[in-house]
Amino acid sequence: MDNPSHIPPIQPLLNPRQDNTRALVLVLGVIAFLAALSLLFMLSAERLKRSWQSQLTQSATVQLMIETDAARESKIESALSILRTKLPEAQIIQIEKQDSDALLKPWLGNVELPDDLPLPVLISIDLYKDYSLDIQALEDALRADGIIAQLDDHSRWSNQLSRTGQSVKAIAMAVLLLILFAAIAITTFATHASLAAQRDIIRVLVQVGAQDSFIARLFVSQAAQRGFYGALIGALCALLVAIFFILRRRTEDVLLPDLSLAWIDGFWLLVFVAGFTLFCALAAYITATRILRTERRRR
Amino acid sequence: MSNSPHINDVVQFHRVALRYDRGPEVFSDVNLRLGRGSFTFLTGRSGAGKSSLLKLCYLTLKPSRGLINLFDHDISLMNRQEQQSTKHRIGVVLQDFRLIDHLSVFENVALPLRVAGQMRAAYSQDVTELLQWVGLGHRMEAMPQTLSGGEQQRAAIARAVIAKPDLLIADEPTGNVDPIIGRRLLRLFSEMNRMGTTVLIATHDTSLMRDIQADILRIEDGTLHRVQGEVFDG
Repeated sequence: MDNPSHIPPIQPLLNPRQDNTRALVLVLGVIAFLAALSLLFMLSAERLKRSWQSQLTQSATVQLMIETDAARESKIESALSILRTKLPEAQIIQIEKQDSDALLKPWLGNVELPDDLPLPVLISIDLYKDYSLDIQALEDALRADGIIAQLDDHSRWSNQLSRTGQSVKAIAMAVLLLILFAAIAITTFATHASLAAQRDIIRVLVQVGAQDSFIARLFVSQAAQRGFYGALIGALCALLVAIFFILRRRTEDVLLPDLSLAWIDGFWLLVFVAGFTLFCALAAYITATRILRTERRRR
Repeated sequence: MSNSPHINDVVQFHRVALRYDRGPEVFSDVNLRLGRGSFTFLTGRSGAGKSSLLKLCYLTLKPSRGLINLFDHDISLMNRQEQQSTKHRIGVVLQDFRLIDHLSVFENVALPLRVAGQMRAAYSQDVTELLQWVGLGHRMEAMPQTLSGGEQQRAAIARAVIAKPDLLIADEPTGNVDPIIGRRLLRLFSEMNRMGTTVLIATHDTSLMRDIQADILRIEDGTLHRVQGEVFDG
């Protein structure tokens, strides 16, 4: 005879063998992996966009239109001096001829440029601080000294980059939502199947006076558990894949996007795991209460 | 039987009829009163409607017509929550036992208490003692499919009485056990009845009915007849 003081361990009320938990966790894991990968891509793309935008907004290029060679050096010196006076918080340097010629190569190819080709002199401005440039004031100051110059603060590129970044973010977000909807659909289907499979148990629970909310909670906790493990597996796999790609990008010059990982991504992955779990639990709650209510009306 | 409500009645049927779908009425115009603390046997031949009448009492079926009051409340006016709360007050032993296969005997018996939200530490001792009382102390951790029919029946009875229900309904509770265990279970019912539980037992076992002083109702040709006692008026 058993020791009367021995209390048997508590057992789950729903039969764990009847709902293909492993297979469902695996499917949810794959879904969560894709969603977490989209999330990491979105975060990384956002970081990349900001970094590029920051580089663009903190720099500008001045094109000096110098017609005669005689005044060339003095005009350059004069322009540099004016710019340095007007922008003491910036690094202002003339771009060497070979560097400015190199900028034309993508358009002209590997041809020798003739020396008398009237190319503008380029001056690069790199601001040390987040400082907004007054392009018109700089152009006016240069013009007052007889220098014809054109300033480009890269806003055209920056705006284009911002639009592209927004599009990439929107697409990644849409993919993430689509995948989360797939997770909700799977959980709804699984809860449906589980309620059918555990019908006898529900009948006994109803017989001993269990409220619908009590029965629904059993399915919610089951779905939340599956969702949590699926999300955890998916998030870890996505993290490993992201690390693998980043290392590969660093060690080999392969055609991969210049993505990165940051510590904050870990926080977002935790939020993702919690959110994914919550979505699964919510889907199970809605499905279970709806079915129990329908069953009750049928009775 | 008077139609006025009796405050001390646990179960009241007034002109109750039951039919399944569009079939004939299983019984009609049944009037029944089970007073608080009463002990009643329900008898009748197989298929007479004993189990159906019990199902009306534990809210698994709804009457085709007529009025049923449980614990002084009209069941047709109860919402789902109230129905489930009422079920908490009713212990049921069915012919098919309805034990949950993946739960141990201990867990099956503790189920009503667990559903009621009681803490494990609070009910463990009670469950253990009751299992010992019904002779299943040594099978607490056994799974239902490893139990004999009689053991399953005792586990089902233990589950029905563990929450000390106000109304105990049993359908052939001694059908699968030997006479000694049968008498022991009857003593358990009797003991519960002595402590205030209203007991309604459907049975064919006439020896059981002889062993205890109780009202006897017979369901026959769709109507309910009193065999002895003062409960019935049909």
